[in-house]
Amino acid sequence: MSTERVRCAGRNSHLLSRRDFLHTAGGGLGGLALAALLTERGQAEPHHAPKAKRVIQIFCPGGMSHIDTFDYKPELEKRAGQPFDPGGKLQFFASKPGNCQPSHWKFRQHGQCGRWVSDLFPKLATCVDEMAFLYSMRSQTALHGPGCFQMNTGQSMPGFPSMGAWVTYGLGSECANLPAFVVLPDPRGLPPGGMINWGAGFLPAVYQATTLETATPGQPIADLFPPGGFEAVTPQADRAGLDFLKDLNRIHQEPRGGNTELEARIEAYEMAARLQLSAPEVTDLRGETEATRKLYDLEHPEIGPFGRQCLLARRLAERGVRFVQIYCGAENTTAEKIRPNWDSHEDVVRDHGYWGAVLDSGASALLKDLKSRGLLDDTLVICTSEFGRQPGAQGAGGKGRDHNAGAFTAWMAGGGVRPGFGYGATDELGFKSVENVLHSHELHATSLHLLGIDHEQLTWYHNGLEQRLTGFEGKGVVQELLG
Amino acid sequence: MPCCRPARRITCLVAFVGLSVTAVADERLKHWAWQPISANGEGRSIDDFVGTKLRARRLALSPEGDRHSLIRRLTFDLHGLPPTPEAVEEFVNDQDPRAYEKLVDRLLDSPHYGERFARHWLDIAHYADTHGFERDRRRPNAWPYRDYVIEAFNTDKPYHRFLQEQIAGDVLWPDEAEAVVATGFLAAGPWDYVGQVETKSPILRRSARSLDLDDMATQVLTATMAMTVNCARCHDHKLDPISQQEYYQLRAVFAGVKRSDRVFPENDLTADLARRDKLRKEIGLLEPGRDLADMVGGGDGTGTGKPDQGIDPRTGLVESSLQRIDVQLPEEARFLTLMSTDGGNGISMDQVGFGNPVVTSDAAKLSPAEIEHLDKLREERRALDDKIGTSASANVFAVVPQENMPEVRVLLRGDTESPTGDPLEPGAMAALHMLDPDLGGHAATQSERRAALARWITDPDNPLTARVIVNRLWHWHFGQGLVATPSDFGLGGGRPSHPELLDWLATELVRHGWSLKAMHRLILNSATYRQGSRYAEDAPSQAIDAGNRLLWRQNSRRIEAEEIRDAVLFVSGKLNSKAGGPGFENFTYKEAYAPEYTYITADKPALWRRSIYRYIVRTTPDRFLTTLDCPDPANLTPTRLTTTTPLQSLALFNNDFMLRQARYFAERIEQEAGPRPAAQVPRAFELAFGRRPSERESELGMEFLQDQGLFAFCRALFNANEFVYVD
Repeated sequence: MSTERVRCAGRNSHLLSRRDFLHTAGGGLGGLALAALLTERGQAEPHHAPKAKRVIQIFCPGGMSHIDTFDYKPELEKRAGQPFDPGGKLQFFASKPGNCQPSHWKFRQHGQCGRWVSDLFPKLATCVDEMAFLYSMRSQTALHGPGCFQMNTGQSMPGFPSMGAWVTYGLGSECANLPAFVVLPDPRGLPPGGMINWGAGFLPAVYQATTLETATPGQPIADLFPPGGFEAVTPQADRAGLDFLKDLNRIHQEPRGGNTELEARIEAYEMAARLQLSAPEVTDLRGETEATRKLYDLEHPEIGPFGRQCLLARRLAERGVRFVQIYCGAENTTAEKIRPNWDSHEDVVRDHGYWGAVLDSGASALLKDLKSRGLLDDTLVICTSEFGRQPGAQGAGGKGRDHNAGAFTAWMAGGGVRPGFGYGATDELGFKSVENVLHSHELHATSLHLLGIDHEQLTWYHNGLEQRLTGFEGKGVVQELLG
Repeated sequence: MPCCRPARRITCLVAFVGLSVTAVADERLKHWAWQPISANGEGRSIDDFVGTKLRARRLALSPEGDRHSLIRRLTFDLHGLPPTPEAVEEFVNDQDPRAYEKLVDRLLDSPHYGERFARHWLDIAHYADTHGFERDRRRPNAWPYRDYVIEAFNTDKPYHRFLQEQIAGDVLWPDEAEAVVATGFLAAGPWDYVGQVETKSPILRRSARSLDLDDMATQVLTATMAMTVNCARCHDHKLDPISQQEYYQLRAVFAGVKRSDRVFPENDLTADLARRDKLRKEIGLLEPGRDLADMVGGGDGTGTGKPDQGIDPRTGLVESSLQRIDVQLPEEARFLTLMSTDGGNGISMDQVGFGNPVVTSDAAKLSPAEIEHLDKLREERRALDDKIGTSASANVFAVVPQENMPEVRVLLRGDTESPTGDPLEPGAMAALHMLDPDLGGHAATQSERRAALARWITDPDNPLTARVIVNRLWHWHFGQGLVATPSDFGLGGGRPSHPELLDWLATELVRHGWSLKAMHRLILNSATYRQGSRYAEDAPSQAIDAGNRLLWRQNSRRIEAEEIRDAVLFVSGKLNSKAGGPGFENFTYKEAYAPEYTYITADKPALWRRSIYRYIVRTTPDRFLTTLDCPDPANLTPTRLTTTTPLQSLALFNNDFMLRQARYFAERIEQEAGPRPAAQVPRAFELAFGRRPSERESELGMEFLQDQGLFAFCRALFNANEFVYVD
């Protein structure tokens, strides 16, 4: 079934071709779905020559403070201790602002480009010449769940396809034996909003992410292998069972020649068998050198687990997985002492201190590793949070910071991004983005552009609209960010 | 659903606001869907309409499906289950010329029909049993609405009444419990607790509330009339003649209500609750000491405050395991300050849990008469507690009035911080020129507004409501509607393949007193529905109409996620047919700021109920079902999509639930067919596929069964294409 053209059809022809296609499939999408996942046929023609072939996205849920990381604010140092909101008019998510609170970590300039990075990220600071910083990000919402949806799907409401789903829909798979879109959640749990952060929304389920379970090495993908406890279940019996199943299916198929979904389903069982070989191979890190293991600090009890996710992301990228998303932080679930994500309401030093070390180690290792293997050129790395934090302190001791939808920093690297570049700016205190203000839409549009996709042409009809990842306000590619 | 994001800096749109699109001559008003239903089809039939179109393209209906296919198709379509071998046998051998019609009647009479069709309707209502969003808390009283929908289909509640009840049942029939429960429809979608309650920021609250109202209005109008009003939230609708002002006038209908638990029927329980509040106050005045928890709840310590404010902020529940602190206070103490420190447990907002602190005084002495009176009051309160406790199901998550009717204005670019123009009266869309869009003036109460909208939607002259539901029925029976976009009849939606047939069906619906079962009968008894679905890849009809828009064959379909699960249970003999009540929970639940729902293998009868009775969690969906294309309940889902993926193969072949069910299936075969493979193979085929095996299949099956055993054989059947496809 020729589906690729349909998938990337231009806006004008799209309405028609999409519907025609749906009708052809009789309401079903079996053929389309199959083509998109785990098959050589899954590759689609991009709209223009791509710079990046794949994406690794690191998501830091909870709201990473731009003030304490990448967005240097000398003015805030000058006003340290003065009331942030003397009029007392502002009301943040959970508090009224306290005094101006400069970064809890000292800022320094780094690299050839001279970008400012705080001492929270000593290792990432050595990578700044590869990174492009988006200093002027804004979110529509200061709530975690909607904020995560926004950064992942372009909409603050649940139910929309994540960027990984859109990219998979647009480009299909680059790899015959692995899912096109893989997610590595934080080992501590799911992010705010849960699994639908990487859902397919209204797109067919085939475009949703496959979660790679790192806690269960024998079962990296759900149901990849049968559970124990069934005597009659052995690899030999499985094979025999699949052969018998194929015989049954062939007999069933004979008088139903027109229904191509039946063939697709027979093929899917063969692909599943291939996945049983390729998935454990990806997660088996024994072949990695000692130097690599050290680079990712795999043995470290606190930062090792995230390092492992980053290493897995590199291995997945190497094998042609189109979109990998790694979470650095979980939901506000019950946890002792340290917050389970970046949501540092009561103690930035404690919580950003912890998560900063985690991110610093894993992300810098990933960038260096990708670079040394020549993968960084065509792998786009994105790191973002759902929003930033306030320059005015929170809490009686002034140790925390409240949510800030008005400003945060995201960074990108590799995949054709302009290295060492900084775009946009917040006001002198870091309260609001004011110069070249950016939203999820520009970040997504630029990323899609690097992947060879025109974001205005990547659409899907749903609920009265040709929906797209990047909204309808004419927000588009940030040319300055292109290398 | 947002199509654009609020951007507060944009002001150039002011000029357009308030300009009603209907004020100018508008070509779009000629769109077919806004026209009155044509009554020209008198005396015609479904087959007549379909046949005429087919003949024009030199096509014809396919031959009728064989009886095995027909009963399997009908049973899955109407029950979401496979037929029993006995039912197949009976139907195949039924000599009565009305055998098929009788089968349709029998299936429509079964309560399984409502269980199947409720699933369709709940897709459109994006029903779930948790609130969704960040904290995704439980919604324990959602299920009465789910049961209401099942019951409404089973009793063939007239469709216009069905809609009226769901939009304003509490207003129109306040004394009827089920009419109140029906309004659970308005609240079925997600609700953002953090945005609407927890945050202290009024801006964030207004924004969350705005999205909430958008969800409500969108759901009602897309479900009932397939009008995508949501596209007019930020600007006039780009395609349809719906102005932004009209969108906000529609929102004004719902602006006076919020989603909440509500008691039903109101009379009994409400009185009991009021009496209990009064008792609490009386007891509080008599009892020594003052209740600090009551004071925290805004009271004077005698029970006048909001009860049960001593909650654990982590869980939102009254915490019974808090540490008891008993402190001796010196006589001269005038103030008591309770201080708590953050124990570093990583919980947001630095709140602490209050238990039920009471300050007592040794000095308090009661007379014997007072003690007797107090005991009596306490006894009465205990009795009331019991009574109220056992009527816990008398709550439904629906809508309740807001304290005040807020003013509704157009929001520039949909931004809640940029209201503009005068306050709006409630109103509907003027594009439907045969109806009066007026839904009441500024003074209209929230009740009157909803009742007016319910009447407007179900007005006999409304051309969309009847068309939309008959098209949905068609979609559910053929896999695609006459209009391929069942929730969008606008200019961006599909055009009807058979416009005359659509209008004829709509007319028939009204003529049959809005009976959906009558419409099922019309459709299911037609030759168009009864034709076979098989065709060769090179069939000539395929070249002319590959999409089968003209219906030269029936469409075969892969059964839906829930049908697969239910069919597995049915065939293994383990399906628990218990109907109604709270949903079954095939997960473990852990209280937390954001509760954790961890799925377990369903391996006991309580978890073997039909999927419609599943407790549906929004942020943590059941992965097994999601893999099989079960849609995200955040979305309004008028059409389900079917995909074919290797992950589905893995789920059906390896999932613990599937393997256990294969084992039960094998046990059942052994029990029913005995130890001989020659009897086991045909019995297994009958149960799984509704037919006996061919000779070739028998040979293959026997050989495999003898080699690998009955369990492996049953496991293979559950994975067969024939198991999940209906001809």
